Amino acid sequence: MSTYTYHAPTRWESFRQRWRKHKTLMLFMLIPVVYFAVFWGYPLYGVLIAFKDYKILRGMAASPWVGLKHFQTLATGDVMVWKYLGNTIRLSFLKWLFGFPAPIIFAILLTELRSNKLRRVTQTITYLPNFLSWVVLSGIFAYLFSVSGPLNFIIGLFGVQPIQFMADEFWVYVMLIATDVWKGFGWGSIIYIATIAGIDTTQYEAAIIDGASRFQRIRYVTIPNMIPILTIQLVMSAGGILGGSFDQVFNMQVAERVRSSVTTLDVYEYNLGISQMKYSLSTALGLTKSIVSCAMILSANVIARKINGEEYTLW
Amino acid sequence: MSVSKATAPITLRKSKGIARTTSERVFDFLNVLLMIFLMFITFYPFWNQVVMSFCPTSDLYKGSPVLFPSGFNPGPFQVIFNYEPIWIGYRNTLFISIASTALTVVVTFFAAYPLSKPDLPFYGFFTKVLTCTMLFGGGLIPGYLLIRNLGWLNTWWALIVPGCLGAYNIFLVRNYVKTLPRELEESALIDGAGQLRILFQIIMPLSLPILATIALWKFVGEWQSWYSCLLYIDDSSKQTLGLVARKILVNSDLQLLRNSAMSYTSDSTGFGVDTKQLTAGVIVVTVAPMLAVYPFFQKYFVKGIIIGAVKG
Repeated sequence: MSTYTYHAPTRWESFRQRWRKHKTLMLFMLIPVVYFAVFWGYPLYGVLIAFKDYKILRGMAASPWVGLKHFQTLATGDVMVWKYLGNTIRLSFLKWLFGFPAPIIFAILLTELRSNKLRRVTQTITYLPNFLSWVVLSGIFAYLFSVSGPLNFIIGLFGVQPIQFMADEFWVYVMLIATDVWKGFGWGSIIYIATIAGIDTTQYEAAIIDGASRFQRIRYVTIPNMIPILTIQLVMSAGGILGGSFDQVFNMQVAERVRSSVTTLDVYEYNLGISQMKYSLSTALGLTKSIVSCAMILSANVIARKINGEEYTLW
Repeated sequence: MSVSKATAPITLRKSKGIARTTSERVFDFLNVLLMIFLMFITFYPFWNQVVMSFCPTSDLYKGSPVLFPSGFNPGPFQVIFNYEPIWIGYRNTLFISIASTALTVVVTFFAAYPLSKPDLPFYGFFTKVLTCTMLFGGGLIPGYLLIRNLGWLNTWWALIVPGCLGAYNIFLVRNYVKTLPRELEESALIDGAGQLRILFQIIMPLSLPILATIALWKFVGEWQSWYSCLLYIDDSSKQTLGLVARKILVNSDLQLLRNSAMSYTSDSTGFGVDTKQLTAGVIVVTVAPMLAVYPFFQKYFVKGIIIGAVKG
């Protein structure tokens, strides 16, 4: 202690005490510190490429600054960017429209099942698609959705002409959304099932005593109890609107003529950067996406806080 | 909400004594039908590929999609297992999956344990920065250039190290360790145990559930990963199974595979090798190891999410 009379530790003294107490642990912290400095911090610095005319052989220091030229190129000189932006928003919105409610409804229906056995088996099977990569799924669906494949066969039984799921501008979106929901609804329901399982059974008992029917119990007990988790999920999904479909769009074997109707911004970022080696342009695009996504998730969080109060937000 | 409640078997919500109205009975019946339907559409795509991979080729041209094979056709699998890149892919992927899983578990644990102590110096700073890493990052190209500058292009380092630490996993383990009773550590400290001893002999064994979950997720993810390989690896002897699969399935890079098939001629009994069967076989070969162990590990996957959601 720096003086000889008793006093509560000053901030600096407390800091020294805590450091001494956790000396070894701070050594352990070196690992994440170094890791994130290298793999997160350095690329963050590398984002400066977006403001330079970066040529890979010249390196960072030797590449001249060009300010916002690349952003300008994207905004005004590049026709495809806006089309891809439209694709991205359309795809994300539709995926959200169908993909957000699906696990919720599934979770509620699953917990309303009377047979435990059926429930468990259904869960095991429906969780499965989540674990498969879009590479594998692309192979599976290329066949299933093909003109001579099983889905068109079933449609044909009803007398409908075969639908070109992989080659038609409208149906390709149907296919993308359907497969995405198919992949995620089972796994996505886990969090809701856990929430429902945690609901106080006395609430249900009270509802039964008050004469509530099954549907009323779902409406007045189950769903209100899910509002917190629904809000959190909604906030988290807000940030993903500009991305999230790379794997699927990149791998799904859509026909060439509809490619430009499904290409999303992250696929474009890849094409620009890796295929066309336009590093600066690609980084500029990535940076813009990042900033917008970040802004969206922060605003969603603020809105959630205003509506529901502190505990229902991410932080 | 306590964890035990969320992971306990879900019990029926209503007492058996309540009569069901007619509409409720209808609802229950339709619900069961719906579940069966959902199971069917989830399962059928795999089943279809599995069957296609060993059914006689003539089955494919009968007009209706294949439900059950009418015989056993070893052709496609013979071709596939004669195809060198598949084995190369298997070997590489096995190594990379195991190595990166081991690294991830160890490093995540080392990062999470100190962070479970709120009086750690810079605790707030670390937490905030870690949260930021979840929100934004350098992006695709700066990441690529980093790997290049590290000299890791075309090496396995590029596949194993980046991604071994993630804020989500760190928070998961941290929150789990936080729930362990402090008395354990305190009494160990009183007994004179050093920090390292406490870490390895007390905390680690108790954290096995969450560490196992992370190991599982990572392994399953790495087994099929293809993207890093696509970006960073040129050497075909270093390819992962995921990339091999992608080349065949997505790029229709079937030429080499077809050449293998040439030596396998079809006979009149219909035991030929159709392209569709080859791709089906590749799919089966890629996914089979995982599907085999999946039922056994499924509950650990689920537990992990629940732990994360409820406590996080």
